[in-house]
Amino acid sequence: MAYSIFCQTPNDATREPMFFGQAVNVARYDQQKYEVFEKLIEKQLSFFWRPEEVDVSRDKIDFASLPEHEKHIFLSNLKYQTLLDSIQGRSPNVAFLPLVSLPELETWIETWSFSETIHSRSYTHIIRNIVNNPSEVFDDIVVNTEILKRAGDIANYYDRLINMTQYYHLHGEGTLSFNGEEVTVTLRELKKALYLCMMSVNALEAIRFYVSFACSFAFAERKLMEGNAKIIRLIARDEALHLNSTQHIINLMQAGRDDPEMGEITKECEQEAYDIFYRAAEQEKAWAQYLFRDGSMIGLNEAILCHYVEYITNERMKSVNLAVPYQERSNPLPWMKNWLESDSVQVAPQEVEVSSYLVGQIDSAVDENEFSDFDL
Amino acid sequence: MSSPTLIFKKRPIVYLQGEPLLLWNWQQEQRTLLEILEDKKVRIFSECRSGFCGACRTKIRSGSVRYVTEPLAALAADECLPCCCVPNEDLDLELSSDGANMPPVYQHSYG
Repeated sequence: MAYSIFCQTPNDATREPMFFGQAVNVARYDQQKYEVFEKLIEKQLSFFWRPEEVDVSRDKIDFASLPEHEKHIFLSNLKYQTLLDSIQGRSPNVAFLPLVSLPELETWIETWSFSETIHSRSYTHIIRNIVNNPSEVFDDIVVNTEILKRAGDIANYYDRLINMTQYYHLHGEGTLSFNGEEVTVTLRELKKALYLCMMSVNALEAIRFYVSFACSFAFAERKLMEGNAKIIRLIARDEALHLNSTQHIINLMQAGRDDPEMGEITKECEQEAYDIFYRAAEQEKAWAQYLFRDGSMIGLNEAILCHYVEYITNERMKSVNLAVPYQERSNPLPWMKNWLESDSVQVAPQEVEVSSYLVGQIDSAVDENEFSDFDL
Repeated sequence: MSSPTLIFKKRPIVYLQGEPLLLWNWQQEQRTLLEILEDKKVRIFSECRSGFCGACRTKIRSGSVRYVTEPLAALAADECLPCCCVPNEDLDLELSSDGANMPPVYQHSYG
């Protein structure tokens, strides 16, 4: 079962399942099993942006004038997001690439992970601008107990999948002892670990990020920290695409046509998947409590933010065919919509920093009627 | 050049769980189903409003839609993304009419 970076057995990738088939050899995109991943790649590439494009110099003045408890909210969110993107910038590559068997999905995973590294770079851009010593912020991430509580739960599913994959590639199926621990590796257990990991990633991108987004946009609603909000808006646009992709993967797994055994596993794991989302939502509510421990900010407090977490958790769980844990309510933060909207209008990009300015987009559709008044 | 064939098309009616909400107007053609639903204060969740996040995913009870821009989100056969489509024919959506501006119901009295 040893992994090879270029498997020399000829195969038809369109007949492979998404994961656990023959590892991808030729990166070819002329034939595709799931065209949607190609479309996601193109969309993500068209979204390309660099943090330096956004001017955050005004934020330094805004930040200095914030009261202490609002500084705490702002910096804590940045730290938490830095952690999330540190994980997401590498883990899809490390965890999923050794298992994937479709070229378009392989490239999507790489494209996805790469865009997360842009997010990480943008946090450095923001933090370097607002504090004199960025190390004070970054160094706190790995010692802050509130952040570490969440990091454990996020990294766990990845770590388990990565470890099992390593055992599987080295020894194949079977029981082995490692560090005095008995580990049983079967393909079915590995598939289960992959499914739960995918659910945990979906919860991360669909729920965890949105608490920080809400705070960033709440500042910007008051015309504060607007440079930061512009960057977060670009990040939110990317995250919406990523969470859509994990929803696609999960839906394909659940349908069972891609891999019937995976279809069975998704049914077996329904309760565990539900728990992953529920736990993520409850952790985020606890995070909201930590954010507002010294006081609320104008327009946002712990209760509203917790209601928002419950509201989007319900919405996200419906998307991956899970039961909803919270009471149905209307959107407690209706203004979030204005910030999450990926505006379809292209304003001259030199005039404003529009988040919707697409790179490399050409519409080449020409209607036959365009030439109706054209004579030779 | 072929001349376009003229086909009479009835203006579609949009329903919420069987209750008529509105008669689709040609002037609304430039706008998406989502915008029109929001005008009528229908409770619907949305985020990217460009077809790639899937937040506004809505079940269709009957009828069909036409996409103005191609959606990227995962959709089952009976689902649509209102943020990037318009009704193609009479359309019944699995959305609650609670809080929506429904047209008044006239009571006819005979005799």
